[in-house]
Amino acid sequence: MTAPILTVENLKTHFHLSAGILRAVDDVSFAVPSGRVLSIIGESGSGKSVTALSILRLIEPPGRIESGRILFRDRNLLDLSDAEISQTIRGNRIGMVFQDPVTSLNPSLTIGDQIAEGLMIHKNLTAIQAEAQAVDLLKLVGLPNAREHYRSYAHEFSGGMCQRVVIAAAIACEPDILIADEPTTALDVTIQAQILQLLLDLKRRLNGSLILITHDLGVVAAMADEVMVMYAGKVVEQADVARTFREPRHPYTQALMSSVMRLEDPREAPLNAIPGAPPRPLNLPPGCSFRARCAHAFGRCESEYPALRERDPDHRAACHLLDG
Amino acid sequence: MSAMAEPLLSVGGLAKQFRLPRTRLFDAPLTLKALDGVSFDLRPGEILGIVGESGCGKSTLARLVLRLLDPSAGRIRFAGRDITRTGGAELRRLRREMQLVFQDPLSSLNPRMPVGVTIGEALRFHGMGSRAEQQAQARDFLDIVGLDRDYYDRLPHEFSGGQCQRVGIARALILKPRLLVLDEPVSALDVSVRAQILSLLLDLRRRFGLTYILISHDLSVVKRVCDRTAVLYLGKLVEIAPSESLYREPLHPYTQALIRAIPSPDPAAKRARDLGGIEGDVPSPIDPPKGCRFHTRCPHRMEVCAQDEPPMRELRPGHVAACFLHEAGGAPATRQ
Repeated sequence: MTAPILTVENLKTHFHLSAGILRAVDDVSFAVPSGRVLSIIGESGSGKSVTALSILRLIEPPGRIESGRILFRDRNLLDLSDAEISQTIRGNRIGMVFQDPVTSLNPSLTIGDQIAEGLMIHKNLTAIQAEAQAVDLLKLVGLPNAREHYRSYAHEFSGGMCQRVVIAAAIACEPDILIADEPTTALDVTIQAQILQLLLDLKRRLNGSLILITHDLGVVAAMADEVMVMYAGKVVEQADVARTFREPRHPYTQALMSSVMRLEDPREAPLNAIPGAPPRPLNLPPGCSFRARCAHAFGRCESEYPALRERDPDHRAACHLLDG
Repeated sequence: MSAMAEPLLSVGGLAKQFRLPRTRLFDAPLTLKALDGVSFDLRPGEILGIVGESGCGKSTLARLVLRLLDPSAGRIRFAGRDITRTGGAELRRLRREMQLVFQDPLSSLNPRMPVGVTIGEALRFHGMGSRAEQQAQARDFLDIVGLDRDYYDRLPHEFSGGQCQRVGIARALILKPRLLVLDEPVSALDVSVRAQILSLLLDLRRRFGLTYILISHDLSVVKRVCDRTAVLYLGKLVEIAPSESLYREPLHPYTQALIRAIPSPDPAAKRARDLGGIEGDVPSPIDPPKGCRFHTRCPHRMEVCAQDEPPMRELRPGHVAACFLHEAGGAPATRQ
């Protein structure tokens, strides 16, 4: 296993709502290995996106990063000022791609200028240098007629083309880590395949790491090296992609895997669902948050949250069943 | 002829054009051909899946069938009647027989209206039953879709996505329709709860003898629940077949590409084949390519494809596709 480029330790990001404290991310620790793809999966509300936004220091009130450390190149990102983060880290060393490509772009700026902007801020390029480089980036992400399209606006493009532009902007400064939060969810499958291929090609080319947040397990299987499973604000399992799919240890991961509909499945195959819905991590009772939906829950699951422990080499899971 | 043999819905040459605002003062106004010459039959009790990329006309087709839009050409027959031009009170009566379930369960519910009131609203609109009867029925339908009768007074925000979708289904069902159009009914839901909703829909079909049109971009969902699948590309039907046959042997290169583009949830499969589906974007429906509309992206295109439109032909029993590869003298279709 390669040395991690980013290490998150005991991260807690909570939202202070009138109804109580929503523990969106609650004591989450993980490492992003250098040059690899880490996929974060889980149902909506499990804390995937808040984890990503915390790394980027984009948490706004009523949300707050309560504690923990986010180590990137021996610096704790939580110690940096907002100015330092936006100057040196966000959009520079850590790039980001969000779900909706059309709203990610500024509708009143040309797409070229949006890419050039980052280059001028982070790399101190002149406007002319930045423009030339932005055109190269647009070519790199496969935008046809990059030079002419430099002066186009987001509304002139399809969703897939907009996502290519967003990716061009995200990789402009050759970041060490690219965080992509549901980058293809808003796109059609044929376009999704193109964008995923592009992300893999760019990752190889830049030799960077990719944190890929998605709920589509097909995308995970195609892209990820490592998979981290979140449930109600906590990490419940982490392993390499093959083991996550073949030998998941946590009952939640197991249930998630069996609820996937595969094109290869015969039509008569049973439709497996996880009963109920994921809880909101708001005023959660003690014990394992998955127990209400778990087929194997027993007494201890009510009273005590299971520790996330290494069960096999590089395979962590949090379940009392595994504690023996 | 027995009543069962008659299709519940029969659509012939259905087309819809939208006139766009002029971009320049003296230019002729542009028209967008959202749907162009689509024909199919739907048997009672059948589930027909409609797949295709955004802008292919899936939702337009649904809205035309439901008579929420007026067709530019073609005809629609429902339960033996021509409903292409039905209007007024008759159209209102017709609405009871066909209902729609929307994609986003939360935003399709009124956030300030208790879900029971939402479910019973259609009964009030159609003046069916007393107030007490309407309430009782709404509670019954909560139960039918697997929710607690006592949830009547709850507001949508108290429910999960899956529960909201159950409410949406109850609302569509309360008028006891014969046809339900499901527009991406599970796309907004977590993978883990999709199967719950699909199982519910299958149960309800058996229980109430319903017929569904299911619109989805997720081919694995369509394969599982739909008896037949229709593939639309740029407003044209390119292939329609029993789901079993369509997925086993897709005959149109577009269908093949769509199926190939789906990432398989199996990490071992990824290195075996590349992710790439097909090149390029869907062309604009304002100025669609001549000939076969898919020819600009088709890996098997031939000269004829740019000139003529391929006709729909039954190539296997019940399996109809429009592609010159399958015409006499055409190259054999490759699956790869």
